Amino acid sequence: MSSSSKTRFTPKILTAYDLLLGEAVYWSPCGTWKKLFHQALLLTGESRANVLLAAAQADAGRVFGAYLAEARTGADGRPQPTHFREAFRTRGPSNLFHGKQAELASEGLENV
Amino acid sequence: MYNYTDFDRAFLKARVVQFDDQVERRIGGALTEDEFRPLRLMNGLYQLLHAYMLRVAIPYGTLNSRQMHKLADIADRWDKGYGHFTTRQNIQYHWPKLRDVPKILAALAEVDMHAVQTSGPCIRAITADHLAGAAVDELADPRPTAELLRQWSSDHNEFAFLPRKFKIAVTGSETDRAVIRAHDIGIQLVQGPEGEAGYKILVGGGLGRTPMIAKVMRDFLPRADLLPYVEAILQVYNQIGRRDNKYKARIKITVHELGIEAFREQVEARFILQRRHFDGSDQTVLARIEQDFTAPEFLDLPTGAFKAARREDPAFRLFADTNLSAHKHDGYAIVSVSLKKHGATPGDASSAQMRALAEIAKAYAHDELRVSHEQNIVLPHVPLAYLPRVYAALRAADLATANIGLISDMIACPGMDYCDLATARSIPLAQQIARRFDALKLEHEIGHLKIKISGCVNACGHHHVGHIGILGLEKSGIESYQITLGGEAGAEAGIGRRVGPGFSAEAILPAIETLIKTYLALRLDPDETFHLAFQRLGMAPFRAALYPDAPRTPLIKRVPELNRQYRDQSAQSLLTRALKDPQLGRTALVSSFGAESVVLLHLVATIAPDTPVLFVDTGLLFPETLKYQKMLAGRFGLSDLRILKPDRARLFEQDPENSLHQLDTDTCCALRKIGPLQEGLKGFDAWITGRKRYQGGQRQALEFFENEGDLRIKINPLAHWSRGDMLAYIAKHDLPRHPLVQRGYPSIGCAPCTTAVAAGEPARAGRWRNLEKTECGIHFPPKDRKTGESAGL
Amino acid sequence: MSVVIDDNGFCADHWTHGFCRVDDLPARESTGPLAVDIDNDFDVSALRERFGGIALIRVAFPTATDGRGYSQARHLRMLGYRGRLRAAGHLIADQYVLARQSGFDEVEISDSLAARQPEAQWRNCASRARHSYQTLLRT
Repeated sequence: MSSSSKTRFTPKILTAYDLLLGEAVYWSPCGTWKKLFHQALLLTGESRANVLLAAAQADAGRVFGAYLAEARTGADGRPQPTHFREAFRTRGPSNLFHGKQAELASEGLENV
Repeated sequence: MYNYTDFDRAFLKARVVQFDDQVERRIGGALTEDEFRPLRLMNGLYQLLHAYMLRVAIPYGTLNSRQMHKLADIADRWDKGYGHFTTRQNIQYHWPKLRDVPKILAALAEVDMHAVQTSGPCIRAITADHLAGAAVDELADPRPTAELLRQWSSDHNEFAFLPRKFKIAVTGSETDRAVIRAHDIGIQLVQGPEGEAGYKILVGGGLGRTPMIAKVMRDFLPRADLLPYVEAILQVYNQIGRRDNKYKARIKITVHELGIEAFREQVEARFILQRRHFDGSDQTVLARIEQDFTAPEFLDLPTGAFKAARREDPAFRLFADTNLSAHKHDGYAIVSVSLKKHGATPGDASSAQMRALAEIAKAYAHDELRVSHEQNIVLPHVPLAYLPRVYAALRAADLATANIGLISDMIACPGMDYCDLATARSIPLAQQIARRFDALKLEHEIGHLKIKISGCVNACGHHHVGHIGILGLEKSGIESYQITLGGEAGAEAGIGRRVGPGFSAEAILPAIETLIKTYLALRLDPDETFHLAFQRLGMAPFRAALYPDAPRTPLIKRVPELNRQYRDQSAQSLLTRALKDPQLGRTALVSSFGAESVVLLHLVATIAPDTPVLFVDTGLLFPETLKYQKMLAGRFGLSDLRILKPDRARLFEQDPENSLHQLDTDTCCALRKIGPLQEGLKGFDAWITGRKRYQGGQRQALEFFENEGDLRIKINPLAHWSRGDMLAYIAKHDLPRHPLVQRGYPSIGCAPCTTAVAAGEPARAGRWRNLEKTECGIHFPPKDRKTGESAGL
Repeated sequence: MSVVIDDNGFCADHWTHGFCRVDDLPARESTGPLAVDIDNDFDVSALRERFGGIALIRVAFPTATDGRGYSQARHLRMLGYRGRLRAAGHLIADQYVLARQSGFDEVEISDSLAARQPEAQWRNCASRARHSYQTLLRT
């Protein structure tokens, strides 16, 4: 519950997989799951993050596989991934134009 | 192939209903994700980075056109129009939605297909030799055994929650195309001492984090004992396999920790108990299954059209020479269809391509297809007569890439483009390698080479058993690729060894190119494949090539290794390779342009005329030598000739009147020859000399390679040449000899210390005649000069 | 408290004589029938000599994903145990048939687990005709 002695809690976002579609979703400030990384709520406090994570894990109905991913604030003030795996997850595969990159392009939306 | 019975169909039907119910209970909340996960895994439903993934079983890689059509329909209706064929002979769909999965399973059941146990901690789909029933070297078709095991393992009540997944592979020949040595249980069909049918049973193989080659449990197990024996293995494993640590939970760890003897003891004891519960019904079932696997009615068709097409169409000839394997029936061939078009995703096929394959199989290939663990499709029974038509149809479907077994026929897991477990991407690397070597037009030149790429330590790309294995990891927040060499998947299975530190995504392709360049430079001939060359040469030259700045092994250790690698080679072969061998670094030829020098100069000039040639002008040479040197250098086109001269200041100080040689030949040699040569050799790692054993004295035990302390390597390509060899070479190439030779000077040094030699005297008798000195000292390291001791000759 | 499940669904626990841990088994054959609790990693062959005096063996299932219990049951049956076998702990309705076919006669789960997986689900899973390849291939 309380943070381990030396390591500072680094900013994170809460992410999971949509139960029906299997796509990545992000917990947003308005208390719903959204499709885009930069719509996520940036979590800077460890206890709040853990509480939200536990709630997401118990919320069997909409999502599964919830976890906290490293994040930072981008130049535009919105959350950005720090690790390349999370960056890939916001786009889709690099060999075919499938996944979020295609979905969002067709909706005229932009991901990170 | 296996014909489903009513029982089989009822099983699948019930399974689909069951999973449909489980999905609804999950959506409704009656099942938590923790409870649902093992259930969906047992029905092949994974979760990947971007979506769900459904893994459909293709038991022992065998399917017919009707089934292939259904796979195409599923791709179009519920996925994105393509499927991915895997190293487990399965097909994966990367974009299904949860609610559609029961519908997909129902569609699969219509053609007797399913996704049972393609995931989860249970016995997975049984894999087998993809050339079963067609290969020339097969003892017996492994697929009836595989089908028996499939039935036995389906929904096995006792083994639904093993410590970890469990994989069984079966082969019917010594040539192990099913990689049984890398499976939890590997089974080979064998004959007993009296010709009776039975199995060799191996256990505890696996790739992944801790790769291991399987160990033999039984050299011979009678046929009727298979199921009780396998049950005994599974039961013991289920009870004692580790469950405390996911990475130690496979049976290979259990066997490793217990030891094969102790493990076998437990299994054999349990086997005795198990055998009482098998009354022979399984053998009746096996006999019935075997009837479904009799050979097709082979046709006897003329092969004229095939031969003509080979003659007349170069593209067809290339395809036939690369993608066909011998079939046990005359007039037939096994056709491998590559899913590795240069630049495409390895193993992917579009729905259109799947339909084309189905139609080709139905029309021309006895309606049978296979999926190989190398992510290609195989048409196992194709009459040669139909090959031109098959080829045309494959071309129309963009499936005619002629690269089976070549460098671009890579195995690559989906990697971080899809997989949740991955640490790096593998597909882009495979695409780059394929495109690069296609552009260089080197594939056929390189020959047989298996590159296998895994996007994480779980090794689904089988990198451990690739001739070149690539493992994608992460280092300091970016993708980092490690190379392993020396892996092999077949009967001589072996795990590759890491070459050194990993390469970034930008550096890995150049690294692969370096490896290929090194192989091409050092191989004995085109028949020596990459893997054979690696076995002969070892890691050293490849490591030296990839990491030129790494600290080197001390020469005293490297030299015996070099002598081993180059043993039995001819002078030409040695020179050709040594001049490009990364283990030798920068190499120069040192020549005195003396009596026999022309041979080595000519050899080097024909192989690499830009090799630096060092010539020491001592200031006391015969004028004939200087003239000869100029003439030869020009005639042979030696473009990097370096004339070394003694240091002028020292010369003035020590020998202003050119008379030192009369008082002290050693000091004179040091001043005029050794000193300048040592200066000139600075910056070189190795130098070539023309010394030969037959010259006698300290040269009698000469090897190809020697070390000069830890300073440089000396290369003596002519070490084993006789006088006769020298004369024959000179005659053959009509080479001009040093003019003093015909005047009685078989060995020529500086003028003051060289005299003619009478008949019957040794060739070097005229050098420093009447002195004890026999060598000038350049072949001694400088510090030994004073003692005159020979060092390493 | 807990619920016992058999082929008819939830039922009362017919066994009222208590359970003892395998380490506490009386040294000699006692007068009454015995019921023994064993962990799923216990070496069941150690009980072989005592089969005659044991009426019920209860095998612990600490999690639904730990399948050792099924082999415990099968191994006991292969060794000749004819008494009752009960799988107890974390099992889900879908595992009822696995338990029965491994040699268990019944399953025992906690009340809270029973609340989330009510009787209807257990009966549904049990009644669905189960196609067992294993019964075709062996005894």
